[in-house]
Amino acid sequence: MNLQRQPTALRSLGVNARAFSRDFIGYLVLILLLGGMGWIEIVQPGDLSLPKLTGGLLTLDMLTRVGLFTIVLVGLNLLMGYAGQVSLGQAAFYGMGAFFSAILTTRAAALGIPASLSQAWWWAWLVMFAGMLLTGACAYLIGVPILRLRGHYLAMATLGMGVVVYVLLKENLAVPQLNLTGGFDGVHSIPRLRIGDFVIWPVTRYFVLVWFFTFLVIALGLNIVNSRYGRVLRAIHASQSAAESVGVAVHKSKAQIFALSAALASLAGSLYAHFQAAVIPATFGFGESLELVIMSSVGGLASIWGAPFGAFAVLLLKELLRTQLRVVFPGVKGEFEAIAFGVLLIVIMISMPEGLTTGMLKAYRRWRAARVLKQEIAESLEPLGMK
Amino acid sequence: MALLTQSEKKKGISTIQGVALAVVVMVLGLVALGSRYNFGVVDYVQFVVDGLRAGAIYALVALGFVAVYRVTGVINFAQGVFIMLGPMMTISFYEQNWFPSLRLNLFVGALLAIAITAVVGIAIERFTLYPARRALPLTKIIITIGAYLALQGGALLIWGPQGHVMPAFSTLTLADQSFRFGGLLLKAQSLWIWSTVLITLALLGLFFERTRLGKAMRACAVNRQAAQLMGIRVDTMATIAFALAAILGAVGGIVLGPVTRPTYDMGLDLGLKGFVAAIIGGMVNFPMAVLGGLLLGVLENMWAGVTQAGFKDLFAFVVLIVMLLLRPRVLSGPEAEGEH
Amino acid sequence: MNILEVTKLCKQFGGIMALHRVTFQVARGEIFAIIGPNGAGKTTLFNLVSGALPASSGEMRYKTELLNGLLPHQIAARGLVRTFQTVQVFGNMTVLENVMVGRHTKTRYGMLDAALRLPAARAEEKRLRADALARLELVGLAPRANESAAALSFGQQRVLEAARALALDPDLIMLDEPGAGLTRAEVEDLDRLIQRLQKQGITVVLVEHNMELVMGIADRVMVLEYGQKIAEGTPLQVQHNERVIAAYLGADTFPIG
Repeated sequence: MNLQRQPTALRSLGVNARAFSRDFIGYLVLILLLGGMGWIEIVQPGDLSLPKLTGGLLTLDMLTRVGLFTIVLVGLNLLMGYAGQVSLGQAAFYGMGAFFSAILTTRAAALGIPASLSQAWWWAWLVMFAGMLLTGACAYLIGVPILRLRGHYLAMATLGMGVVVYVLLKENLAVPQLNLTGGFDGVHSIPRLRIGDFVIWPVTRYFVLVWFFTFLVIALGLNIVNSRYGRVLRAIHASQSAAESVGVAVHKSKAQIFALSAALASLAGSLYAHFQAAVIPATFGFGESLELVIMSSVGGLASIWGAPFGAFAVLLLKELLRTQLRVVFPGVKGEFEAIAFGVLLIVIMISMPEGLTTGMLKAYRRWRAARVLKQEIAESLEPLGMK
Repeated sequence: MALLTQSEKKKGISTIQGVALAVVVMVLGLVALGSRYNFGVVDYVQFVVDGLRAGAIYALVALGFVAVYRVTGVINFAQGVFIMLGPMMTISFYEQNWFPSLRLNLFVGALLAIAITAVVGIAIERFTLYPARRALPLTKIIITIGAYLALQGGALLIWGPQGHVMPAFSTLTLADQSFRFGGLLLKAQSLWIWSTVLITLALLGLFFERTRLGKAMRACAVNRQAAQLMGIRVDTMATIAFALAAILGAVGGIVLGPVTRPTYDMGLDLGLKGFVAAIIGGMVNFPMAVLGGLLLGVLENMWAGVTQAGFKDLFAFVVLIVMLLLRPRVLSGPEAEGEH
Repeated sequence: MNILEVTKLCKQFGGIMALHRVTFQVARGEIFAIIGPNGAGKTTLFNLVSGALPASSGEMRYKTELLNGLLPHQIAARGLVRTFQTVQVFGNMTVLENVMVGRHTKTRYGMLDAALRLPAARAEEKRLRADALARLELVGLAPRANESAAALSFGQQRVLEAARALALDPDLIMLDEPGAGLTRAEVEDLDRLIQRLQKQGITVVLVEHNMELVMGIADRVMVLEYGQKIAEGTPLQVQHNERVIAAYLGADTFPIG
């Protein structure tokens, strides 16, 4: 009620202030959690370690993966959640980044790149950023025609694009003579990243590196959401014709965000290649695109903070199913995973289509509002003696 | 609304011509590619014959897509599951040996499989899409993906990851009868596939033309709101459309079973190809969907014949993307409802 | 001087002529109303001029520049904006943000500025916010700036849509049935708003069924029937035109009582 009396100019800042404090809490929670877990794992105080504390569920390896997926998901959420444009082929861009890094750091000699370049420590970093630019440019070119489609058709077209990229990776980009992608077996012996002579490995170091990038990407995503670009994305989601009517170049904006999401996926792919030291095409097929959509839906489509949450929740659930189910049902492998994720997707989409984070927050607010109302009714009835 | 349909009709004629032109160009291109291998006329006829076998199945699946889409506005990503459930369950029932006659075992098993698949289709509509009928298209897409994942996971649990064997209909063994005409090889199962698809299409035609239910469904497909105003229960029609799609998918999967070694994940590929066929047919029109299926089957098989085997899947998806881009106006129509 | 000139404009849907050789001019600074029975082609006309649909033939010129072939956002960026018959506010944003989207074309900072929150972006964002708020003050929605646009009443959403269009600093605004579904008090507010726009030098073209509103504020009125222009003139001239009376009597009783 106090809000009503504030001057309009002040109140206009209200939204921003609220968004700012929410993001501040987000950063704080994430930093504390990750910092705490990282600290335990790196310092190992009193012989404690993460796997020991969590019964093998959480490892630094797994948390690094959460970071990688978060980078992809920030892009995917901007595209799907904010702009409302579905992509069932996002793994293609993830794979393009991974293979771009893998090929150019292991097969440089075969490609005629002088050793003075390819042996330098900064080569891998250069390749990583070149990969982002290249993937982004590819996505822009694909996006201009494809994003004219809507809804189901866009879903199918992006799915088709994903399959085409997957087949190309699997079939050596249609030039078997060069054997660039290594076919089914992929590329292995990918070197670790270095800064000068400082090798970013073992996993403790890589964990810090990945999350450095992840925080950067989250900050970038939040800034975009709160900028004129973010508003345009939401406007496109709400009504394309209305957005056009006020001068928004809708098709260009959609292609831009598609390119940005692809560049982010490519960054994550490159980081994945240097993390895993080996990449195979099978990692970047339709199944992976689906998993990304699952993570995105679980975390909350239209929310940047949903990205780390969705990635963490899904990877944790996978790990739980993998380790715990075998105790209950011996001999069970991947079957339950698919069933569990399928059912989870359906339930979340029917009951809280905005994802778990937003959905639960809303449910909590409704519950609290109902309680307050109940109390107010009770209080107003009390003097009347009708409890 | 009446105005819009008018303009679509006019456009439709020119797109048919466009498709015909594209097909001619593709055939010439494929033949040019094939000239490296010194293929003769017989080889090409063989490609066409084998392609028509896959194409007939694509046609059935495409019909399922079109039926569901026209009545509910949803593209059912779980369609592929129906194609897998048909043969998998048929094999399971067949192996029960309930009857002394193998043929009766197979026949009853197939009928049971089709019936159960129809129930699964109804369940998907009732329990997952009906509760979310007012949701955005994006939500519905993810829901059908969820249904696909869950059912395919269930199939993996029941039947395992390995391929299963289904006996050929004529011999009831693995080895199928085959006929030779000159250099041309024709398997008996192909005849089973074609005759089953023809009979199914005829029954489907009768259903849409002669029965009250079929007419009601057609009304729904043309204009959902108007149909509702005329007292047709659109919700019921949506359920029936799913049942129909399930039956079509199961029938296709069963007749295809003996030539493919069914696996739990066979539905993904066939489902997507069926969708491409439906897109070629324009997503609105049943005969065109059948034509689209046959065309896709033939062209894809020719493509696979003249290039590496690994590139087989590329063809359908490149066609998919090109088709989607060529006809965005017609296709974006019904989707606009989901906006705002 | 004319701000909008439409010459022999035709639109064909299949075999149906939705608009047939419609010619009219709108002078700078006037309030120009288009009326006609349902299905007369009024909204189609808006869709053609705003670039949402391509014209079959004919010419549309805005400030002497040819509009044919331009995309909707290009036309809007030139200062010709429209609102919709079915209200289309962005329900997933606040009232203020809705207007800020309307000012998108007036901002320049790039994706990189936005992503890194560079000073250029911040300064512009601040100015944008103030500008948007000023538009809301103009239409009287400022007190609700931070509420979700979806929470507004129907009438307020119409007003918000107008404010969003005004954020582009248009020279010509086309309002598609702005009075539909409004209460009597809201229609009076709308009347005042349109007159205020005229005072600010904005040309207004409106499609409207509320004859009281139209006849009260319009400088000139054009009447469409079955896609053809049957009359044009001052409100008084149009009210006494026999073809207009016949058209309305044929469809409905003449709505001026």
